[in-house]
Amino acid sequence: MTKLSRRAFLAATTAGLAVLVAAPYALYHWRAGKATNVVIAILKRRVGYLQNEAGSFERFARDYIEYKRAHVSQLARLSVVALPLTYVTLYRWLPMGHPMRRLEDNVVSKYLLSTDFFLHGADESRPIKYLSFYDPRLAACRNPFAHLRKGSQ
Amino acid sequence: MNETFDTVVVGTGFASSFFLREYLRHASANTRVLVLEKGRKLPYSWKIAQGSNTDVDFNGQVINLTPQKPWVQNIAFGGGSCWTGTAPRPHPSDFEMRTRYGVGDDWPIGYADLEPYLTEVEYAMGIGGTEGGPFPRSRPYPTPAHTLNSFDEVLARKYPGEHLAMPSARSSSVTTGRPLCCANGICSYCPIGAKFQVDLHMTDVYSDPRVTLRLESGVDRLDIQSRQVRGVHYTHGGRSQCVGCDLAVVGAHGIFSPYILLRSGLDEPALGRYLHEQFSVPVQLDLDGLDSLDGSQQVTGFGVMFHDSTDRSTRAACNVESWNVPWLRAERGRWRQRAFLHFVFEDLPSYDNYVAVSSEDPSKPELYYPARSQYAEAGMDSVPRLVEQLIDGLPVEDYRVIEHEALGSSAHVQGTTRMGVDPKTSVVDRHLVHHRVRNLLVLGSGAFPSCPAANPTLILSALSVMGARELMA
Repeated sequence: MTKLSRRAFLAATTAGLAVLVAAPYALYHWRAGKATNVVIAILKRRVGYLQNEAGSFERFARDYIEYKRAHVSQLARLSVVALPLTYVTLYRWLPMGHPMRRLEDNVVSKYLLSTDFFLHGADESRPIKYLSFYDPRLAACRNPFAHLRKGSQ
Repeated sequence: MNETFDTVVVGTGFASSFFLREYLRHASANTRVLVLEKGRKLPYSWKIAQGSNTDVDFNGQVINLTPQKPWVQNIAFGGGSCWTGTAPRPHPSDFEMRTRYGVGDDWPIGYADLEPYLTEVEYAMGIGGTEGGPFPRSRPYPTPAHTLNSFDEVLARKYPGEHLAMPSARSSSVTTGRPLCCANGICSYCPIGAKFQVDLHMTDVYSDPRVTLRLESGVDRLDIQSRQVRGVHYTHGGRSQCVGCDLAVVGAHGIFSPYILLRSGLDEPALGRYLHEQFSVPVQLDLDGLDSLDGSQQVTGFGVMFHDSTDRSTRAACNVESWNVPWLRAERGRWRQRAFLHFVFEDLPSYDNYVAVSSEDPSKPELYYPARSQYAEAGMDSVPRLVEQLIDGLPVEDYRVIEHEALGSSAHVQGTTRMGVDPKTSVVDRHLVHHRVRNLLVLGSGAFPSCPAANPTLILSALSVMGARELMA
């Protein structure tokens, strides 16, 4: 019988404990996670440095989930990775068009377009106000870039 | 037959509506026209709320023998498959495929024949555009071109005269009488009515006192005797009805028009054959230091730089559309450093692809289109090479050619009632009159003998005006 080294024993024990702690967390989020968590996580990491109005991430996340009704269960399952997604992302290493890249692009696009960020020239030093969810069917002419160049000519 | 009309028009899409408008200009005050429309007149608020122009499940109306190839048609008053207002002209070469490239068939008309009618329709729709490209014009566009986005500007500098502002029925000027397009990206049911469309902007045709419009009236067949249409059989409210007429005009889309003719006993070899449409390959680009997405409509750029390449005898030509919808990047400060292109390819119509009366259920058409032509495939396979060529020297960080294994639909059904000079290989003549049944016109993109990479609405509308004017001359 092969003798287990002290280092290997410690590594195996640590890994086992990590799985023991993480598994219930993952299982809980897989089965009962909130779809809004992953949206908020993306926003915290991507635009958390901006002066966002208090509560605007939560309000946007609710509106976003309502807008993405057909994908709520997938987003809820993704809440498993909401915590790490608040701090890290594989975005740059994923191929263009990867679902996770598309999700990040979409959440950030919709959020910023739902605020007055671009109306004030994408000025990071200004406080950002959440206006209403960006849905052209409900408010048709809110594309802030539509006539930027025409206006400058 | 309880009633008789001078003319019965089937369908209310662009083909029928432009025909009818021109026909009424020349018709006498006591002319009686019946228009039969299978769909309903849907409130515009319903369309916006539902995100759809139809309440009919088109797939339930047909039997698709090759479901890998979907087809799209909106059944409702105003028709239109997916009309978003994009209205480029066809290339002069599209009319001469056999003569110039030795593939496909020539049209019985040339670009010069159609040009005055293209211009008329552009004026009727208030199309915004600019001079340039291989498109000779008799008059300038009626309204100014939309503003290009910043990436388009870069392409326009690299390809002078070959990357233009996309001609468009999305209003670029208040002189159209419509609100200015604000690039909201939901053009097929524009929430502000900036885009020219039948149900909003051609209602005068249907309120003409000479016209009777019957909705929810699906045409079953034409009554054809001794090479003359005598009447039209249709179903309304579950009851079969028949009206007499001196002239029948069928503009029921590239699938239902041939189906109605086939159900009426017509059996020309080309009828229902040559079913085809364009194929599109989307490409997403991440830009390097160039903020874009700042044009003034949904599709801002129109590239013709690859269209008439010398190998069009072996592979499909394409137009390049540049899209301008605010799908941003998630990266700080690089939000707008993105571009979206669509390489739109022609197909090579094949006799083997068809619309027929279903043998399984004759109350429905059956559709057969198992695979793209090798010609279209060869064109689409060249996209990575074309993209490399296109972006060489431009500020592009990365790009992705989006997979195109699925056949998809461009909602531009064409070819099934093709025009030509030979009744053995075509259904209608150059004026859209049926070769044998001379009081029958068949309108729409079914008449196209080849497959221009340009969107068909402008072309089919111009053909309708030409057909009506020839008829009434």
